[in-house]
Amino acid sequence: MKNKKDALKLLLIMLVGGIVGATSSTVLHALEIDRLSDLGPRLMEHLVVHSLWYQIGAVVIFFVPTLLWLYKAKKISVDDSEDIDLEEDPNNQLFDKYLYRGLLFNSVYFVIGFILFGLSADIRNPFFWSSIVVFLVFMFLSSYIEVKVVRSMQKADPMKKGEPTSMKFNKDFLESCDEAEKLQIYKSGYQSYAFTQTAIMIIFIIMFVSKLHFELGNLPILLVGGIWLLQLLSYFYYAAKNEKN
Amino acid sequence: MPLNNSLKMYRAKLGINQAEMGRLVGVSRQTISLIERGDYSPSVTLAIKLARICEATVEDIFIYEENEDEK
Repeated sequence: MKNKKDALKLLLIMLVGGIVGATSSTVLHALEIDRLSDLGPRLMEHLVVHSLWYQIGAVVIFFVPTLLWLYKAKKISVDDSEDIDLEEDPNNQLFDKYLYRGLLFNSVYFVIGFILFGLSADIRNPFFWSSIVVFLVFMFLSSYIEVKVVRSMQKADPMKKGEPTSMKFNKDFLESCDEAEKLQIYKSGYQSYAFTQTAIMIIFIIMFVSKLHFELGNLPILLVGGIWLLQLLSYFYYAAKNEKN
Repeated sequence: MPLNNSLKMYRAKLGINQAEMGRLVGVSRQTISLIERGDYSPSVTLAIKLARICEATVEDIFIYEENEDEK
């Protein structure tokens, strides 16, 4: 009985999905959105031609705040002296908060920097060489800052291991974390996996609609599908590996 | 989780801060802070380590109170 109910529920979800897809497609067609079929190529052209300005914008929006958050964190002296801190020291919490924000902004800048570099490496970009210089300079600074932050974290907490410039850093760092930190990392890892699964499905649907209406082609579908598959397989691989351990 | 503790009191008796307590049992300052606030329940191993440092039993430091809906 339960199996029948499950099958019916799944069929209903698929049916609703199909109806929503067909309706939105018909609505888009009725709105003559197909007139905007060159939107994809036009958008790409715009991003390529103006990529240097987007790169500079990313520096201002993400890289400069990174420096500010980390400077603020550095200014706060983490209490590790005579005081036995019976009341929670607000400085410790502020230090953690600023450090977290600094690392978050730096990581976001790192990814956006790569995306913009990928777009800028195009003969249509009038500032081709400037884009490459901006990419190289700020990627170096971003990486250097990350290494410095990790080293200062290791100085403050000598139990944290791992050479930040090494490819084995993530593995060594994770191994040196204590049980509460590991639990937090694993929880975040699973939540991020679950979130990404839903996000990828939505992106896939957007890419599919874009293929039909905006001439984006099949490549985005292949790429998003590939990432979806990679994420799923890597999750199952590590789940099986950890079960053996 | 209904696990209350008096770790802060024992730490005060020892006269050490969270970072020092963390070093003695091999965890970070943040983890000691989480335990004291009741936001993290330590493993059996860590609870025993903490009890040894405080020269007390695990039950002296950690008090489990059952919730009505858990009975």
